[in-house]
Amino acid sequence: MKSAKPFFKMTNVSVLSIIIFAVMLCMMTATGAFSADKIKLRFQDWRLAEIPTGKIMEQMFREFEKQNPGIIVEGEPIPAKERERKFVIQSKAGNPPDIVRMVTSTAPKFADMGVLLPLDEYYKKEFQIPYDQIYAPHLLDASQWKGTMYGLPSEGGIYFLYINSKLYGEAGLDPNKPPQTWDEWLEHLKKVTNPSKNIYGTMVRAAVSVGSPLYLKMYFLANGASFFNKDYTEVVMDSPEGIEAFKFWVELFTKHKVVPPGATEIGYTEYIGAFAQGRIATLPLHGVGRGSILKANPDIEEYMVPALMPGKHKVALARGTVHGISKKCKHPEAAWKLLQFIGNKENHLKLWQSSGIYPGLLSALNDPSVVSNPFAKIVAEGSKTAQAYPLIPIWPKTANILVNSMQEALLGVKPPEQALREAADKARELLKEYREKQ
Amino acid sequence: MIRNMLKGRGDGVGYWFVLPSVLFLAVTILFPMIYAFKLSLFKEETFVGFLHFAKALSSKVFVNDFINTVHFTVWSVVFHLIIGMALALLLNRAIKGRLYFRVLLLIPWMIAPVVTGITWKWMLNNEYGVINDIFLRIGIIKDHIPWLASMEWALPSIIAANVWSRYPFVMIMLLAGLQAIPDDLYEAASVDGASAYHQFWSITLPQLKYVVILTCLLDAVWTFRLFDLTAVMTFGGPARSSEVLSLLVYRVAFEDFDFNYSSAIAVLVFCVSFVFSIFYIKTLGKTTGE
Repeated sequence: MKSAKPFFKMTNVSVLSIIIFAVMLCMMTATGAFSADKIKLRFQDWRLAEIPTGKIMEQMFREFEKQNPGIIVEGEPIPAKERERKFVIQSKAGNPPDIVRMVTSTAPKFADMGVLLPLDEYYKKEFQIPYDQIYAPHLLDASQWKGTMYGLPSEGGIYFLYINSKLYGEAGLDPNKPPQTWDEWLEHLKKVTNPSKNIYGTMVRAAVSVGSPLYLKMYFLANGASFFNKDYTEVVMDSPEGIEAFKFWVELFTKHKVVPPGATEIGYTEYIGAFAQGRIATLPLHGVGRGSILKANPDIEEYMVPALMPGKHKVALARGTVHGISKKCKHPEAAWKLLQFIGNKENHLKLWQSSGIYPGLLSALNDPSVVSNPFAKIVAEGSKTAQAYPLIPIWPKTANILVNSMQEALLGVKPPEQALREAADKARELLKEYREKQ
Repeated sequence: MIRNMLKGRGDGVGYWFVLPSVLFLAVTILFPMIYAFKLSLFKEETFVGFLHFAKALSSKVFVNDFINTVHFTVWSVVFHLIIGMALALLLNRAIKGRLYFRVLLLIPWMIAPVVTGITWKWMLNNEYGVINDIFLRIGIIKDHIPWLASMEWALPSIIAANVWSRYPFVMIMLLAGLQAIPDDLYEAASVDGASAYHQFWSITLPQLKYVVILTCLLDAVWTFRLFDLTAVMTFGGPARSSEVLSLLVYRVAFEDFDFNYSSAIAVLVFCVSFVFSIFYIKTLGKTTGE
């Protein structure tokens, strides 16, 4: 008589095999492995993690899928802080998403790394009129690298001055007559500042962050200076206008004391938080910051008045985002189609209405429903001449050098002019090293 | 050994049991270490030898951060030892509620370093921080001190947070050592008329010698490569006055995307930790007689 053991073992193995096969079947169905003829696009975006923007974008993806049954869009939300890191690491690992949203200063860097698909042929097929009649010029600057288009503009916006009309009124100032020059602005700041009540004229942002020097650039542009020349062949931050702008910015803290103490620990959260608390009379900030302020304190909305940055030149610092297609994307036509859909006027207006995101598409930005908002009106006006973030791959390293100098000047370690000149010299070495590699 | 492993007898069986852990360690620790070392010898795809190491050692930023790291490590270890020893001596006494005090004093160690960093960051905030408020009220200071926004106070503030966070480890290690000291040594000393002070220097410290050395070495290894607190509290500012080597590795890798240079700095940090580890192993050998 045969023993029961071998039969039991066989059944055990068979049962295991069936279970494994069933699990695999479920996984394949769930991942759509059976739908081999469908194109899958991975869309990486920090906005997908935001409320309500993420939801609106997912709705756009579903709408696109309905109109394009052969395409599936998979959103990949990521934390805003991870936006550059994640894409670079994924690209180096050979597994990047198909589409990525980038801040304007990032697109040239990614293009230089060779991880983005050139889009010239798509632009030529799609657009029959000059591109600067479709998108804000600063966004087009940010979408190209060495004369080739690598991004499609998405969000727009500029930095401007937020005025707290309540604090202005209490100081006897008219918020509808914003300062036009720095002397006038300084006069306003001194009138408003009252340290005993913890109220200050403005803020300076100088915590260690690549973002901090951008807030300094506003002052440079307003004074007719910049960090680099137009074609990024020279460092010009230590021009006489640049030094003047830097000195003015530093002295807000060191001499005039119209900003709160502890400037070197002020990051984005503290910067907008102080305004949201109603302690700051004027705040140079980008348009999207309005949403952050209102999230912290919705009651302050009635006191917020926008104005262009005071200064000799009405040149604002522009911000925005562009979408890029990864070089490893297997279906670039489908990706481009999706970007065109996401970036149409209707969807731009949806994002504006739901999340206050300024359109990068001019037809949407100048739509009556948008410019009726005073903040959007300032953005539309300022976008015509605004300058983008520094569009050179060595910007993060340059920013770190600048932050160091900003902090040294604020803490009195070095006089402002010396700190800025030293930063400029270091930036020149970086630029020289970079250009030698090209 | 391998024959025993394959035949499943004697010591060979034990190796099978440790094999999964060894494989896991090889994949998660050994492979990244070797890969990082390989990266440190290349500039993108080109072999450059020790170029990155030479660049690091001659870089003012590296030297600055190395000095900061040494300060951070030395002061942290010293204060961990002083506070840990004092509390261990207290907890070694037969006091009421000793067990509850032990649990209470362990709490800082239970809190995640990032949470510790954020909490201390707010406590030390120039305008809203509770520390400035308390110090002003009791008259220690006359005006708000920008603890994290000044070059003089940024690193000491982070050291204070680290001392608070990590002293329990030293306390527990020393407490275990104290409890291993035979009571009759103290009894004999008392009979001979030795004061508490003399007993501490003549009995406690010599008996705890190796525990102290091993604990300090372990503490030094961990503190030297600490990242969380500096990243959360100041991110190295202001003006790199609180930037430590681990933070430099992170910034070079994930801000500059220079993985080769950052790997070289990481290898240098590893070398220093390795030196501490050699002393640790040698001292451990002395305690076990190996």
